[in-house]
Amino acid sequence: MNVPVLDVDDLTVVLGSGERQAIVLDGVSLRIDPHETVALVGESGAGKTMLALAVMRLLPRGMRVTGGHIRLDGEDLVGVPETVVRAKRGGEMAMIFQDPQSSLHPSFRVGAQIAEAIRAHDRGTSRSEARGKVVDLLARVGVPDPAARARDYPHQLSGGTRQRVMIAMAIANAPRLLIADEATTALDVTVQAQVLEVLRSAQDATGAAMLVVTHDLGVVASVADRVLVMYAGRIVEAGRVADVLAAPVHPYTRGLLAAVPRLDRTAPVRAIPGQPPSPFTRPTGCAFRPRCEWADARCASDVPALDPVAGAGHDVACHHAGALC
Amino acid sequence: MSTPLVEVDSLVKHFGVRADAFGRTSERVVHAVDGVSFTIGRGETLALVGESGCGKSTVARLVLRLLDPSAGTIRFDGVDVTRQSGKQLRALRRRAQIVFQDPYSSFDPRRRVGDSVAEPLVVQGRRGEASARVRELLELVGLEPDSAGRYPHEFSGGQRQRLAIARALSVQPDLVVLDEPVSALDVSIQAQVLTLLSDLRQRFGLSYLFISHDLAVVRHLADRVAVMHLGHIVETGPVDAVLREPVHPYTRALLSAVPHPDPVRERARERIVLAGDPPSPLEPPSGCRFRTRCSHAVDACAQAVPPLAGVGPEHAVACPVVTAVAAGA
Repeated sequence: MNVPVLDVDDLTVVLGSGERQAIVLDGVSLRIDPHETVALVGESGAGKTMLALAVMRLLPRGMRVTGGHIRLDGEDLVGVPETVVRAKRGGEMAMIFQDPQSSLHPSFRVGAQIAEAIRAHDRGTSRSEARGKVVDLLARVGVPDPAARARDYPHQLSGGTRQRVMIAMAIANAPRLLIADEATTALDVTVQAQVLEVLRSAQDATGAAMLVVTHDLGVVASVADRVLVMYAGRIVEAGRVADVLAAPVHPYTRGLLAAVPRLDRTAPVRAIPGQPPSPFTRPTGCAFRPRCEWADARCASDVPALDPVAGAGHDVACHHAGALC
Repeated sequence: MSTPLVEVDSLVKHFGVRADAFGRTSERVVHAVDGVSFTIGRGETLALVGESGCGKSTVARLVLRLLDPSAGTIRFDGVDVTRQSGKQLRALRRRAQIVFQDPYSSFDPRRRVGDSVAEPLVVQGRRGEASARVRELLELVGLEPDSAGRYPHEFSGGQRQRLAIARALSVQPDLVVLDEPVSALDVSIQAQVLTLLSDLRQRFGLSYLFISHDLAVVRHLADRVAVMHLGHIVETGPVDAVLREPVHPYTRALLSAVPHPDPVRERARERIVLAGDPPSPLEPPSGCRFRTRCSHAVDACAQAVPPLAGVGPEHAVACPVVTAVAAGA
């Protein structure tokens, strides 16, 4: 069997210590093959971004990995020295953030910032070579008049163009793993459509594995092969996009889909009662049970395992999955 | 037929821009809203949709007279309120309220939420009834009446948006302007707030001016929709007609850009990907402002701003090129 590009195995991330300790990610596993796009969906606070940041080893202060493995092309990154991870960050693995405004340095020309990303991983590249590469990259992500735009400062660019610059920077070193964290959330739909197109073609060209973090199920259907649904630090449902979105099993996934207003339907949206728990007030057993109509005594005592109950490659973590399939 | 609650005619708002870092005002002008007309009936919800910078929030603020229009008129319940001030303006504010997008910045963090919810009543000189009314309002929007003494940070985003709705309803308005009221919320919470908004509308016969960039949300709440592009309304009509059979090339592009959560439909989706960035409202193109990105554009599009012309019952489109094709076909 092929070695996946990214293999996260039973990852646990904890916030704080002692009395005020909270589990942010609770035994999360995922694999992404070359050319494959996996979407991570869920609501604010579910832990999607923390999973992405853990992979990049960019977790905020106070959060740490306490168990599990993060393998990039088979090499475990958990516990290796920072210098090893730094060499990979921006090289073999790259991340695009939601807000290009705050991810770009305001007082440097965008071309220089992309060139820096290239030269940080390959000191052999001369400045003029890097300049040429920058113009090529900007052209590849669909920036019109790339040579002129490379000389612009971030504030001179529109939101969509800034996000293209971020993508150019992320793919500068042909990463094996590309992580996009809500990369199109702040953009207008017409611009989002352009940027998603750019991401797709960048992935086609490099064969990268892609992890797309989003709360938008439309974006999931548009770009991903597989989808993982997160709730309160755990993956509650995972499978091919066509299976999970067309025939969701977990009550949370079902609730999420029923809550999304749709262009093709006027049926009223159905809200999920209550709200997601914070990491400090997570219920015992299944974290979704206070909002779930199926919840019973077993849901309060046992954490349901993520099992392939809905067919091959379609995993669900719910004690009632059998009845729900 | 009775007069509509709101009648907006040829509304224009231009902003002068400080062009340099020293604050010198230049000749440059942002054409934020350029000749917008619409009506909102009693109990009706009109959605104003469009992308960032199209002028939809400016229109909302003009209707509430939070901004003064450069030209045009606003009539509220048959009365011209365009130039009203002082006491008359305060009377308008009792009848027209607003809910903002960001539930975090629209409450004073150091005031108890009950005081914030009561503020419109206090402004209207009805302090005496405030505390009883606050309890009633909190219950109405699905919050604990006893939570009036708590501070904003103790509430989640969805709960704060409920508080903002309670505050807007405190003075029993006829019109509530909803400026992207659910955009900052997670979907499961967004659905709760949308349901609340539609219940309240039914219960009190409210009219909504609903500002949104999310067409799917609009489909669920609005009766009619007006699509804005760079200060102009390019298409308007009943929500079903406009969103199911869009006519204007911009509306079509906008709708085709929305990714669909159903994987089968998503794969079949016709995509019209627009090239380049939207033009700047500082130097909008002459004539039709969409022409620089439009695949149907002809020379005539640069000559004059195309007027809205009827294509169906109450359905009007500002594009002579496509409406001529539709009429000929």
